[in-house]
Amino acid sequence: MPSLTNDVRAARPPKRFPQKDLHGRVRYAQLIYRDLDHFKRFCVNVFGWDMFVTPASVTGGDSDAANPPLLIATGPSYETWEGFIPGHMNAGANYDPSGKAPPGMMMEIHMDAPVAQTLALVEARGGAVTGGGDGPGDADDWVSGATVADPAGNLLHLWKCPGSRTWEEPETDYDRD
Amino acid sequence: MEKLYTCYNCSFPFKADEGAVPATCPSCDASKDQYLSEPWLGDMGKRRLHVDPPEPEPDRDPMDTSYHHPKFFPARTRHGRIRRFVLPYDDFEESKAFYADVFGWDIVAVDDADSAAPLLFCATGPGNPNWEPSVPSFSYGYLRPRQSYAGGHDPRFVVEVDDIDATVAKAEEFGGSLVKGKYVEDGRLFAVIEDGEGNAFYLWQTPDSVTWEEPESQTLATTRRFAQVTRARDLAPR
Repeated sequence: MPSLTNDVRAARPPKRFPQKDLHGRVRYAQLIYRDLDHFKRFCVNVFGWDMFVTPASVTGGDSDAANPPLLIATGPSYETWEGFIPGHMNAGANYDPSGKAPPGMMMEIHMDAPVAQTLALVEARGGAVTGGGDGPGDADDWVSGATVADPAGNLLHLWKCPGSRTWEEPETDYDRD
Repeated sequence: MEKLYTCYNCSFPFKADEGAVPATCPSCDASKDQYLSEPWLGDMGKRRLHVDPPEPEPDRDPMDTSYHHPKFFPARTRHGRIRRFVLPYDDFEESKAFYADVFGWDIVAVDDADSAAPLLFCATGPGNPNWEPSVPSFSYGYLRPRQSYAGGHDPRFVVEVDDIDATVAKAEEFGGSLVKGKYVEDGRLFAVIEDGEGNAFYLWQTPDSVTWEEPESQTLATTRRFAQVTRARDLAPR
């Protein structure tokens, strides 16, 4: 793995993101586990992570109580479990004894456009829809989204934030002009 | 009618139509009888309800996964933070166009990149001139040629650590394994581990050049937000 960060000796800074929109941000790592206790012990002792069971409103409420989805802070975070230092992302973890859902990442997509609009663009640019998708009439809740694959087959979990956002949340900042 | 709700348990504010409030808090999973409500006037500056957030508990059992304020992460270390994602590609032009067109990423080749199979660095949201995110809770990352390591491991994330040797020893103690031993690339230290659960990680050792004043480092000023739980040793220079 080559160098990181400040080794991107580009002659310019990254482009500006002036829209009041988090579309395209890679927001959470998506990890998997087979043995909950082993996974927790590893995360806590090796990386110093902290975690809690992801709320039912976010998961849709149909998860396995014995092997729940987890939300993980990998660095300094608010009480909302959103990071408060730029430069790192937190994580989610799902029970996956089969190994059929490899680690991936959760990305945010347009809040104010149908999920189907993003999915159509994914397919038009060589990707594929592999799961979910609420269609044109998206539910305005915390579980709206879809899973897609990029042209190389990498799974991306797309999430559409509901209209509950107040835009005072620190993670919703953008390049204001 | 749209209202602003504030969860009394965790302080999370959200707006919702009063006929469609979630059954449990999207932040902490408390039941909806914990919500306080007020009219949504289109501006958080007009908010009148305020709930103090819970505070980190220094002596909390880290294996307890009920809702709580995330633990205090001490200053002058970035140990454990997931700092980058890594996505393999088969055709770099195809993948680059996909992410630029669909998700609006800004993608550049890293210095000295192989023109036939470049390592590409991706800005996925607002950033600083040093190509680090300027807003919390999202990540930049790489598109790289497809490759996998011994055992078929294909790490998707870069975790920054204080000390690779110590981290590898801990990983092995807690059921993980070393996939690729410590190596130097462009003057920086890396290794690859897996956790025994199906997740592989690049480890990146914090370089000696870090000053702890970088926006992506936790400065003392930000640490003092949690001064009530900060132990003196956490603030001491390492």
